[in-house]
Amino acid sequence: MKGLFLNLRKPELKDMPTLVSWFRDPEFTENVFEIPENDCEGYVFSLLNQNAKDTTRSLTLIAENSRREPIGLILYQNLDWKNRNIEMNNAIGNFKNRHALYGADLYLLGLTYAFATLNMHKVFGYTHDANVSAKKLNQFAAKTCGVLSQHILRKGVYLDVVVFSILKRDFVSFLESQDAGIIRKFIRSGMFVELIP
Amino acid sequence: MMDFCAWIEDEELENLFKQESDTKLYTTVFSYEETLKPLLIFFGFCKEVCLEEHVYFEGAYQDLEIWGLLR
Repeated sequence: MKGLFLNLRKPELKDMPTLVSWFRDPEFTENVFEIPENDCEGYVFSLLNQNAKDTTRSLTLIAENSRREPIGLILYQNLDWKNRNIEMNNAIGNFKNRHALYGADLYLLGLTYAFATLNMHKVFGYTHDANVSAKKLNQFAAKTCGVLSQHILRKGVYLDVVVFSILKRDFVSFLESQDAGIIRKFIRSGMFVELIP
Repeated sequence: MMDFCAWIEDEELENLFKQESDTKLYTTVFSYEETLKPLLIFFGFCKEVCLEEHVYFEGAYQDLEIWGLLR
């Protein structure tokens, strides 16, 4: 699946060093919900192994740029085929690439893949209350469902967790309303053609 | 799901914070389930999240609520 700047593909074993370097970066791990604070290599290996064997419960995708450099990651967890909902996490790998356009492209690609390819009814996600940029990005298209107060323990402190979600029909309405809006370049790239022909 | 949280069922409410490590309890209820909510309120639970159209049940998507109680 192609976005404006990024393409999605399945991760391969050759991506392991890149992924491990991302997961070793405290700025990356601080902003991704619920990943282990140590044993990066073990975590990445289990992620790739699981992704190769069985994608019925979780799925990991790499986003790469036109030079085929890995830029970010989409982690789908808790795929629920009966209720057709899915938890989505997305993050840009290197700090130098964390500018708005890659971030927006990754987020929109993640939602589009979930709705158009996986045929989900709903995408939801969690973010730490302190993660202002993730909250801003999520509030752009999705709704805030509430705050789980003091829900996770990080570095000895209980943190609040914000829950976001978006329904397929609301995402389609959002895209239709954006024809002349801030994401018009993304729309004109044709990346949403399966949702808004 | 997490070591410091515990899922509870309504019949187990008398066992709140049975585990030393429990610092928070949370449970999920359907939004339409009005009989259970007064019981949750009685025990001090607060509604934290409403997950819109989260569960497909009886031919329709139903809203689900997450209620939490801190120690």
